[in-house]
Amino acid sequence: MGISPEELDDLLLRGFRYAYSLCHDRPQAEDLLQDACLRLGKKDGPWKASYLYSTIRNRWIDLKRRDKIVQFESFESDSSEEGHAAYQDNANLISLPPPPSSELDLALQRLGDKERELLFLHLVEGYTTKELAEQFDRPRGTIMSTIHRAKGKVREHLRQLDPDSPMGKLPTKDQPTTNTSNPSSPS
Amino acid sequence: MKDTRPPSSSPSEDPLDDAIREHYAHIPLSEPARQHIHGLLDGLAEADAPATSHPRFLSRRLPALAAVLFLCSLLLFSALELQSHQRGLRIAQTVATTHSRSESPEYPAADLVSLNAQMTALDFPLQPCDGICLTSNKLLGGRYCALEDKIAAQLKVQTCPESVCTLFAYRPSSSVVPFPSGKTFSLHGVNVHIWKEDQIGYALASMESVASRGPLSP
Repeated sequence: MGISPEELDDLLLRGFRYAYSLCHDRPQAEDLLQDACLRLGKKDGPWKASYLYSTIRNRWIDLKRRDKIVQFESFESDSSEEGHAAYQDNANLISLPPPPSSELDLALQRLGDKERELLFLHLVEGYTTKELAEQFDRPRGTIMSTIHRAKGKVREHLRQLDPDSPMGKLPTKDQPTTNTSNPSSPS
Repeated sequence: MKDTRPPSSSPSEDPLDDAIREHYAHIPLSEPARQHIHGLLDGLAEADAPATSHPRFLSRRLPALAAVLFLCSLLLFSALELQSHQRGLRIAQTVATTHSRSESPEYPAADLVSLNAQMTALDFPLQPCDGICLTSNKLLGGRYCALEDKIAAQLKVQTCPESVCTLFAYRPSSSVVPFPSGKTFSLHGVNVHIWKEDQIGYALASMESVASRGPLSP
């Protein structure tokens, strides 16, 4: 396959975290990673993070498009007693994904996909705003402002979740003033 | 996108950045999922490997390759055998024609030693051969001729009072077409037997009536 098991493990972990930054759902992130690995495996690589990320991202876009075309009925929309009981039984039988482990996770969950992805690529993977601008074919200023707004939203969410959270009281020099008044509608 | 992992040791000015990095660093890929993906990829590799591997490729096509090789060999052998037969026929025609002329020997000799001394232009020494016994049959002498564009000696041998055979000897050139050794041709009432000994080609021409009496060698 042209990659050692240790390198593959490292790549899988990075790919999983990237997928998680897109969907913010562990089972779905595992599915995305598995699909992407299968696609790469069928083409025999190349086993590089850039290719894996692109494949994961394309798969995620496909899923989003499909979800827009086909509207699935939610379990929770079934208001009947019978349906509610069945849902509860299922929940007891199936090991549901664990709840977010931290306030930061909850705050990140409230971000949009694009904002989370850019935060992940910029802060975790170390891409510069210039590289991201080239990658996503957007002006560098747009990338910078999106990241800036995303961080502001995270701070605001943290403050809402826990007013005493130290993260919500971080230095205000990076915190946009526009987001503090209405975090759900970035200017 | 670049493939190298960025340095994560240097703390940034904003603690939120570090917190987000720390957050993602503690999101593990579950062991069942990791093993499942490894299993899928191993399965893919195993499924692909036999189709492209050399031994499997050869083993699947070996019978066909062997059959093709056998057929080619058979065709080549048949072609060479046919060429050899035609070469023998050409030699036999020359030998039969020359024998039919019944020309008298240029160099009369009773034995091969004296004949060798006279026929010095030959590029090989005349020696006793298995095809005809020159001691029990009477050697009359020899003369020069040519076979396959090579200088040859034709020896007149009297096998019985009323019959004279002609023995041709020459050094055939090396050729892809095999020498028609052991072949016998009958042309215009002349029986021609061709063979090879010690790199020397021989052709014995005799009238069919003489040849039918039996072998000329002891």
